[in-house]
Amino acid sequence: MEFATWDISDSISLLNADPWRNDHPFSADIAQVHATLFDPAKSRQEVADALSSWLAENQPCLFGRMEANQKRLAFCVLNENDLERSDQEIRERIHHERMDWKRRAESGDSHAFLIVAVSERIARARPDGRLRQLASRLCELYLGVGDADKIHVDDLILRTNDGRQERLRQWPVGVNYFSAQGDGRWWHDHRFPGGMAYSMNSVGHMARRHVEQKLRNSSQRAAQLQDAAREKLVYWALRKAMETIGVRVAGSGRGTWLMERGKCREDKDPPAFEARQTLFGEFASYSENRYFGLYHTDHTIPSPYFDERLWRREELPIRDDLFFTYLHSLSDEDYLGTGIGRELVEKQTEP
Amino acid sequence: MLLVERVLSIVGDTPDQSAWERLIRLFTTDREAFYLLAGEQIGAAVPASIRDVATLATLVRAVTSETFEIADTHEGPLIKTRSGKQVLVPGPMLDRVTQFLREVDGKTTTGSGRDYEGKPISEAEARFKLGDTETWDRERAELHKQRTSRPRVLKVSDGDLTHLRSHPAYVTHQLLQCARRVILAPTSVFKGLRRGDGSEPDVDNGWAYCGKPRRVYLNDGAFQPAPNGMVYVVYSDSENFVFDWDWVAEDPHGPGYPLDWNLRFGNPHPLDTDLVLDLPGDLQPGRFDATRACYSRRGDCIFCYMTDGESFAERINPDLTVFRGLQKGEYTGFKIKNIRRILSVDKNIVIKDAPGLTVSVDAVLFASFKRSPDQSSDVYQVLIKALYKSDSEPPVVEVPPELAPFAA
Repeated sequence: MEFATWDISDSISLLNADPWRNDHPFSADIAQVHATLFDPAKSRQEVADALSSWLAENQPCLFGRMEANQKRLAFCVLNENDLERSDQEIRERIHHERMDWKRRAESGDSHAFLIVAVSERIARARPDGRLRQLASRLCELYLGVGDADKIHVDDLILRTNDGRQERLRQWPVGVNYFSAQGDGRWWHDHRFPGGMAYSMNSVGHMARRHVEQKLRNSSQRAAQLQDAAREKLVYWALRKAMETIGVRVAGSGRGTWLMERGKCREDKDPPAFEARQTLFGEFASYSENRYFGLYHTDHTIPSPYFDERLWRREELPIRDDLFFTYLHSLSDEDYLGTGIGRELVEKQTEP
Repeated sequence: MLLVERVLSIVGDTPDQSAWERLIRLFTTDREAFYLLAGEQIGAAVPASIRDVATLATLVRAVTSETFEIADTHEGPLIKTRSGKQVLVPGPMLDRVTQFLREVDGKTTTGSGRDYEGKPISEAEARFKLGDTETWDRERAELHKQRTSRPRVLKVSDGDLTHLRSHPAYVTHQLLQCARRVILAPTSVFKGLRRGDGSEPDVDNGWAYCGKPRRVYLNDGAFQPAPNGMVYVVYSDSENFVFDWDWVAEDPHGPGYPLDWNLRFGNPHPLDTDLVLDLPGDLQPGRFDATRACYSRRGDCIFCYMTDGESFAERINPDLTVFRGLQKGEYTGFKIKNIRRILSVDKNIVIKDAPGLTVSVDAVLFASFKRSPDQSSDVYQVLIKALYKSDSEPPVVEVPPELAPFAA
């Protein structure tokens, strides 16, 4: 190309070191994986494998942990060589890795993609405006935009075959920022070793793929569901999503927690408690529609992560506008399908 | 309904609108028709009223299958892909077109990111977004190669790191910044340093890595924009030990290449792996000492800095490179190469031969001049005068005893 820019490389040069980290060293698990990530002799694949192993043990999102355990995560590792090259070359690398992930996803081989900028300088940087600028530019090289406090999404395709017809289905995929700065801070559940990362994960794509796989192996169930909308089967994943958000525990560093049922307007809908208990078990008394959080979990780059005035959890407002599902209201029939979906899948997908 | 009819029904009656406006309207009204149109090789049978839309749709597919930039030109915003395809955009439509290009590629900014159910899409949309299946295996194989190849790790020997303690501070800063960056992202790489007959094989078979750092680093660690018309060269021996690093003049006809590269180095060498320069994490500049010269075993060369002015390197002949100030071009020091070869023919440069070999730098300089009889003596005279300028004796250097064939 005729012209080139080096915003990423220059931004990394300008990062400030994080003085807070001197008194709050990285957690042992992060420090341990850093030994591999920052080893100059490692290949990108070795770095990806180390990240995958860390995620299998430490990823707060249970879906992500499942995928990591089954080694189904797709990575775009940006090492020091990549980060020193032009923005255009970085964009090119992301583009090719993204394309490969999407092609794998079409057959159901992967549901999650991580773009990881591995750099000790990034990992030890202060979470200030300069780091935010870097995060924004990296997002822009991936998605074409990098505004904070917005929900930027990619999409993912799955090819299904119900024995009668092959179909293609598409899901939006949320894009979420994680970084090493979160380790030990109020957004600890969005920490990530090695530097900074964008994580893309389609629960709907994964849930549908698991259901379809199980139905292929169970002709009896497939026949039973012939007239039922397969789309509704994916709600088996709701319980896992609630488990990821978790119950509030005093002194916990969680950034999100479940809302007691009845506190939001959506909770007036069915099903009855008994049905919910069957589906959600220990979480039956919590809302399957909304949850609480200290930040908007759908925002790609939450600006509070870079606000140095926000040092303590107590200073952060609590949000109640966080949804498990999107513009959806399950009928009793749909919950039946949800239950069947969970029955089909859950045992197979336990980590 | 045939594809042409579907397209005509949406955009056929507005031929005066720009092709972009009509294409975007097609996308928002009949998504499948857009993706089908983008994937078809439209022949001459397409009605004239939609031929521009059909051509643009195909171009959009080509653009989104690669990466692209948008450049400001006198004709307006111009989309340019990495492979050179170009598409003009009407200026007032730039934001909408940019958004459209993201949307057709599956990237949006929305009110919510959650959707468990998904929605059905057409085969045409899937093929647009995922590309032709014939290329998948080849592209994945290329990615696999990049993912699994391990970097070549370069180092600086302990001896050369020790020498930095008496070198000007900028030498260490530029190692940490410029040299490290050039190794990470070189613009050109050469195998072979053309040290001439009788030179150390490990050095003669060494490497030169060239790049264009955007900053030059000064003695106090501050930086300034890189000097114009210069590239940065990092030299290593064949065992991947870096022994020298300098700014040098750039080839005016070869961006990213050093001047006279074909005289100085072997052929350009395509890189098949990443490179990394592994440096100690606590490396700091020392205190400059003009009375000390140093011998690099890895580079088989003597470094002598007469002042600590930030400098670039200028090759005089196969045995001598001078350092000249970046601002004014004054001589700040020099590097004498091929010491082993010089010692083998001129024992007079040895001052002491026990316990180690000690040589006088001015004598080595003079010995190197004798090896280039056609060389003008001007540079040598200037350097020798500078060496004797101060009140102290010219520096001496200890070299390993095994360098001299007569050593016990």
